[in-house]
Amino acid sequence: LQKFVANLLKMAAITSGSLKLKREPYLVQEIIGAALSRVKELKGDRSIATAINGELPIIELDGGLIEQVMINLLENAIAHTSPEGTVSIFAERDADAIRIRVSDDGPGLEPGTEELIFGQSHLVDGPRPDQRGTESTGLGLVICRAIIQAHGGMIYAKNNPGVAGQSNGSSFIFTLPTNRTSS
Amino acid sequence: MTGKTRILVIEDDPHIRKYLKITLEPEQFQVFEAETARIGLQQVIAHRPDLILLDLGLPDQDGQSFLKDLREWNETPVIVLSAREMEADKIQALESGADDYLTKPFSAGELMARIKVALRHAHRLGNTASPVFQVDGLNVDMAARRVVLDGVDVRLTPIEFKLLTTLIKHAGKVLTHAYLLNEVWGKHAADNSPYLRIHTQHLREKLNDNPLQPRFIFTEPGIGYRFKSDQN
Repeated sequence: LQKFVANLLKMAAITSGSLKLKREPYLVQEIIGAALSRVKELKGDRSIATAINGELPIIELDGGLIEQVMINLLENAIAHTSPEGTVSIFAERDADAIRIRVSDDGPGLEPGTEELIFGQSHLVDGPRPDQRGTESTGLGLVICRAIIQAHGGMIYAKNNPGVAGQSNGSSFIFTLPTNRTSS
Repeated sequence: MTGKTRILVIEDDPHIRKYLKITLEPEQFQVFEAETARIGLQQVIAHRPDLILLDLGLPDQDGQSFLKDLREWNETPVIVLSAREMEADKIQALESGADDYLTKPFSAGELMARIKVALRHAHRLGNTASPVFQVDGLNVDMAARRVVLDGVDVRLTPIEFKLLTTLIKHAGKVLTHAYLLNEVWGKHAADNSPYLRIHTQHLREKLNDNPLQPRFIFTEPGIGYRFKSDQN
């Protein structure tokens, strides 16, 4: 509950704009590398495949907060796949943004909930266990969206294309503008 | 050496104190506990611990101010225990004299690794530092200013060499951006973090170090960098 309240306060600060971003120049690979080390510490040696397509530029971002987004998405992906399942990270540069995708091969999202899971209305029930019995506040994704939007990017989720109606897991994708215009 | 290494835990949460005690005692550490800053101070004087684990959110005194007071007369290594979101607190603690920090929740493995690094670093400061540093295929002779990676000489600029040797002198410890800027470029460079980024990137390239799967230089987002420890 303490974590729930701390997250709630943090979300309030982020969404109300009172949280100041501490922007510094980073290579996104540094943040992904740090998040992978942290997740490894907390979740054990899970195999997480990483791939970077082409050269990524140095961009200005709040390293601590973007690391937290990466950790939340990775923990989420691990919580929704079996221990033998696959979690992967893919990053590439678009025209004016860096696009990062965290994918899993778990059961996928219930159709129609892809957008709902980022909404604050999703939180009315407070903490509840996820499919593996781990307590989940449900706040993780709301905070992730607030952090990414504060950076001028966007975040969304979708199911991976599967064969003949079979689930092929889900992907969470976020973008970070290479030319920042937001504050 | 006689006797066990003494660790003082200053933490108001009884669950975390208990976790630390049951984790550390089987590793041959003697653990003392304090639930407030006031008792912590008494324990420092009474038991002269070899290392202190300090929670920043104590009920009777802010952990940061406790740290500053302690550092006026005592050099015992301090590892700060802090929440994931509190980057600013971690930086301030490091600048107030903390040796390292652990982000809650942390694993027993991470705890032991940080304790070993802090104790080794304290021990090294009390002895003459070796002019040659070796880790994982990297050999740096500080006196001869020679860097060899996997048997091949690496040519570094003077700034890159200074950055490397500053990181190496504190291998295993996190160094803040401000500390590195001050040590490598001098006092006036505090606002020039792009210098640090660019030279760190060049150093990584020359050391064949992939930031996605670091071999030597680890980024601590929002805080600074940590160089791989020469002993694990």
